Amino acid sequence: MYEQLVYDSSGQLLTATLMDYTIPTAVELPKFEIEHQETPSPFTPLGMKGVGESGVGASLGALCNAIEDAFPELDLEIDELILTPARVWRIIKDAQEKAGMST
Amino acid sequence: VITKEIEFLAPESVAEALEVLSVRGPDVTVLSGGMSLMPMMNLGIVKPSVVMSLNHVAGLDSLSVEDGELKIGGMTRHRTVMTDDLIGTHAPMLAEAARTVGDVQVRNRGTIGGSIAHADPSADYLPVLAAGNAELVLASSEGTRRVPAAEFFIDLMFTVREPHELLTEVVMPVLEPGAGSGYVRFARVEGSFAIVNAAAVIGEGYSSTHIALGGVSPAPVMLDASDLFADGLSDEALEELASRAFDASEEATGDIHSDADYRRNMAGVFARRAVELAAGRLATAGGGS
Repeated sequence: MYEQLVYDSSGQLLTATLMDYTIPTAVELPKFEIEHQETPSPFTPLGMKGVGESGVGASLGALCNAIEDAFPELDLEIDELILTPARVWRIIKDAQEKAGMST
Repeated sequence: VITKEIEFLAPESVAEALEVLSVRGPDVTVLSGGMSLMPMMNLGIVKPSVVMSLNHVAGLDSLSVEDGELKIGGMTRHRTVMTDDLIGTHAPMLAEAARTVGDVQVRNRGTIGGSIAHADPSADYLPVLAAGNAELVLASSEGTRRVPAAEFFIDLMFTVREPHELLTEVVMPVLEPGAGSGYVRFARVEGSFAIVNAAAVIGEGYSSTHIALGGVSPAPVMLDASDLFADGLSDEALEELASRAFDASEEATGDIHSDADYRRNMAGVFARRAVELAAGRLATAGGGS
């Protein structure tokens, strides 16, 4: 939703400093509660699984699906990140135009 | 990285600073808080040969109210703009804008005059000054002139200030009793420059409604919407305002954070929000709050 490496046509990195490469901090995060759902792996000692990276893939897909679900009247298929406000707005706008809906 | 030797000047009086500018103006880069200049020097975007700091100049951070005008010295730090009672009472949206400038360190060091003279089109003060009918005082060894904010900003980081002039003071008409004002901004993360920002001033009883938009043009865009809100807020009037804001933002450009079309649409959204915020304060503004 925030972090993106943007290059120009000559391969120059445009998000080289933290002024342009936006990183969410505690201020940007909503308040949330953490719950645990434990599904031990049957294949490893103690049911262990990888942490960190292995969890990221699902959350990205969940984000895309959440936006699709928020607009049941539109036939959205979001299969690409980044989900900036500008891009989400464009996706919705394009889908509305495609569906012949006025905004 | 700064690779070149720089001549550094630190005058202690306004007269001394103006003397330097009158003789060497075109070669001198003025340093106030340095919150934009220093990163730009570090990145090699600007390579000044002479830097003149204003940090030792006496009397550039005064605050006063005279004849219905709030006068703020150019070297007043953002932190002071956001916390000072005089500013909070007479130009509350200026304080509101100062609260959103950069981060704590930037607000402690950066100055209102520096931000204005730097003239980044997304800077927080710019729409506030334009909507609030502020004037900027430019001093030189030949005298001073006052330039309305609406005429001060010419282009991207380019103002009417001549090389021999110094921005010494911001003059803002005090907010009339019964009037309401508000400033809103849209940015991705705390501390980043606004993608779009907007300020609105509504006179008592909707006698007038002035809006200024930032981030959508090289200089602030002014909108007079007095005709729309003469009878108060309505959905139709707010819709029409959004449409006017979109039309007025035709010079908007895209960048890595948003395309031009999105920016223009957000100009409409934030013009509405600024007006709604200012309108919500109309009732209480006269109550001495």
